[in-house]
Amino acid sequence: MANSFECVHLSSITKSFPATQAGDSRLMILEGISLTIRHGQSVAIVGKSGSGKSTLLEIAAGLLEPDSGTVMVDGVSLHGLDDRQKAILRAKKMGFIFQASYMLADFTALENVRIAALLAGSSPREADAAATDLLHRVGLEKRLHHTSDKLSGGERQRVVIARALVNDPAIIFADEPTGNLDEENAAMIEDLLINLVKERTATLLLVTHNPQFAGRLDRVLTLRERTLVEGM
Amino acid sequence: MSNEVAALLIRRSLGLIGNMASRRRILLQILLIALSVTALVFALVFVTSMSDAIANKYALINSGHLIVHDRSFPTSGSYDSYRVGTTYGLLYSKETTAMVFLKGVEDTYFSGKRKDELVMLEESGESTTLMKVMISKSLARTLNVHPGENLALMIGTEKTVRPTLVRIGSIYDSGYKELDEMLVFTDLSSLIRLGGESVSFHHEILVEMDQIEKVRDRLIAEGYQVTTWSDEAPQIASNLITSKEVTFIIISIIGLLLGYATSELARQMVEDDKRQITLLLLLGARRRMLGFSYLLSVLIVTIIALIFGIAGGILLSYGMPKVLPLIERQSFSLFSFYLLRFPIAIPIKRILILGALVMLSSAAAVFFSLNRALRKQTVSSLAFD
Repeated sequence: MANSFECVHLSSITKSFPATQAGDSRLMILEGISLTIRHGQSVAIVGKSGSGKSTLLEIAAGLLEPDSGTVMVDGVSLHGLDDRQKAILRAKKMGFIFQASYMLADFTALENVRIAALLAGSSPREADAAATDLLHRVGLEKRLHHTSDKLSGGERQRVVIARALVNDPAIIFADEPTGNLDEENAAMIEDLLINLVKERTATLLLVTHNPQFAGRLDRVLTLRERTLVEGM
Repeated sequence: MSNEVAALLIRRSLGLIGNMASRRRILLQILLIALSVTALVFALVFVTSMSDAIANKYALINSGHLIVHDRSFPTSGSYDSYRVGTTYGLLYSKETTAMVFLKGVEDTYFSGKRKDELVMLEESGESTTLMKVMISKSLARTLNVHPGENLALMIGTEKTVRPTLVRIGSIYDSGYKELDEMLVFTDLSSLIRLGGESVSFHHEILVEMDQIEKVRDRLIAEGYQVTTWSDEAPQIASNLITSKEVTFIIISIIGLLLGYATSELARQMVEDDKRQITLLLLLGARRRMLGFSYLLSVLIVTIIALIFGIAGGILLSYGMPKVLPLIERQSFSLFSFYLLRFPIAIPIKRILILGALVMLSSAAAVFFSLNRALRKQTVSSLAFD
């Protein structure tokens, strides 16, 4: 049963991939993983490269189907949702931040954030206001009308953070959001993300290699030998 | 507010937002479609104009648009009518013989519209007591004769078959060999005198092509025995109709293929925007909305190209009467036997059908191509790589 305090609930998740060489059995990545994240909680998942952190994040976000097990986000079971229902859920309840700062090419910073708001059902006026406000909040008030090719890596990642937060989602999924940035920019993005998530009482599920960054969150989980354990 | 997003995506696809490369790609696509449509419209106008002109020329110099077979038909009345006598004969030059269709006409025959259909190339000013004939450029070439020369004409009457000497008074050019290579004009009274009982009489009535049926019905109601030019020359009429129809069918098929080719633009757009599409899907965009925005972008490109293409084809067609004789003079002497001067007839209805076919096939091809391409795009293909 879904609890109203639970933002994400994973139950007995198993995931394997086809073997890369003929004759090998399937490659098991996740085995019987269960996880509950409360509303407003920030959780970091750490682990070695190839341990399945990103796979777990994709399953929790509904981007990848598990072999078995169930996923619930904000009280809604992802199993059996059609494309349309999943699209609505992603637009309204989820925000995504990637290692590569993917912006919609040819669109300005403002349009990038505005489009996310429009897709979630905001009116053009509401979308404008929310996008402008968030871009001010991430310090890009002078870069509103710059396209991605005119922004630095750090600035692009700030646009992505603003875009992820513009619809006040229940949960932000972030995979190595500082992975491609220099130390100075990485520190700025860490602060920005943690502060904004707290400010908006959003839930954060973060995958990172950086123990310092992970240590700043409410909870740290380590993915080790296909299972999840508390702490680093 | 998906409409707002769709509008932004369409503007981007059309190159109104974004880089020069996409703008160049769109302009090139518009140019290619427009040039193809220009060629198709030009071909359509050319065939229609030429067929209509041949039909009209045939009616004007061979039979009239309407033929009244009653001798009692009044020559001066509310119709533009001409009394004509016809018979067949053989013309002998020093070198060869040709079978000819002799038309005896009165002085008023070559006036008005009919006058414009013939170009007098050479005339003999010499006076003679011989019967004068006017032969075509193609017949003069066949017989190898010139104005002022004498020919032997033989008309078979019921009583006798005997050759008579006639003088070539002038040589004309109707502009179309197929219509005039047998046609010889002469004075009606001379033909009656020479041909006697073998000459048959009728009245030719000239009307506008689109008035033929209406005037025929009126004449029949007045009690006359009437046929149209197409009744008199069913082979020519059906050939002209068939060539117009076949050309239109071929042009329509090319139009359908052209529409299909636009799906390549849609496929290219989706291919270039793979990551964008995945990102938009991740942000909650619906495939249907994305498909709609690409479909509309391609249709806008197609409509713009069609407008330019149709306008280009029509403009080119109006330049055709100037260009064809120029080409004839420059190089293609063979052209001189064909109709090179004719009024331009724009088949609006057929051009619109062609445009609609291009649009429909474009929409259908793009729809299926986009569906296929967009189905391949899943949110997990971007995922957290």
